[in-house]
Amino acid sequence: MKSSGCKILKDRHLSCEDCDGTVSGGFDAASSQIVLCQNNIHQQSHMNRVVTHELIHAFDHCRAHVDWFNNFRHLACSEIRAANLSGDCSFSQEAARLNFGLKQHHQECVRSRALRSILAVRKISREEAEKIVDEVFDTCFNDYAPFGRIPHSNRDAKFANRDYENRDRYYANL
Amino acid sequence: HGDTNIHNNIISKFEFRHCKSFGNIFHHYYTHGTAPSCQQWKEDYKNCREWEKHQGIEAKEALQSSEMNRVAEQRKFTPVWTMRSNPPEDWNMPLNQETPRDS
Repeated sequence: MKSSGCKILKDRHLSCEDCDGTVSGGFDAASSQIVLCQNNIHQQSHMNRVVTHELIHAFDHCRAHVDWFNNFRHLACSEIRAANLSGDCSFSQEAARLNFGLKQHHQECVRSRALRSILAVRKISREEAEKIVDEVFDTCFNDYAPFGRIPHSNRDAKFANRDYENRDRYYANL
Repeated sequence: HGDTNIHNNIISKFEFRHCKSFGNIFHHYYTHGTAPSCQQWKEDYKNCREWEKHQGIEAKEALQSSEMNRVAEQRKFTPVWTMRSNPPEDWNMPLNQETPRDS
């Protein structure tokens, strides 16, 4: 975030609040702030996932002209990426939700959670939302920025971070 | 330059090992429905050692080509949005307490 010009300052860009329903958090583009729902997050591991999820939205906002309010394709894309890269759809997370699946289940989970997120914040029909998710899925699912890979484990995350630290070295060698 | 190469040897060795680990195979199957292909990392490690020992041009070019392909794979798609050339101007603007919330 910092090297994209959007350094995260805890007191400015993160806010703990009470939220309605079962929402865990959100990214407010109008105020450049991540909201964490303190009344709905009870475990550190959940907090870690929510922060990662919202940071991915913030990262997209920082690096691209994302039209959050009017362009549903943009919204869908960022939701796909956030579900994909935050650990929301890990095998253990899905198993905890009693969604047992193995072969390519990660993608089913990403699709369904992205759909849920869109329907929660925009007034469109399920069919329309599904169509939009389908349109952008391949592109957005395969956009692993800033990790370069899907961080399934701590080791993945460590390797991704190492690649990031070495990025100038790689390009110099090329 | 020597340090860089030893560094790259270590990276390709660790990436190959990580690629072949049970954890990674599991996650790959869970995500893509197939086992991962780890052959490229094995090749890279071999070429890296070759370059270190003999400074062969072929080994160096193979490594560069592998890295370029890896980078190109990441950029294969057209983004749905336009990239910014500068970060949002209002990223650090002071908060207006009356701004309506929308997630």
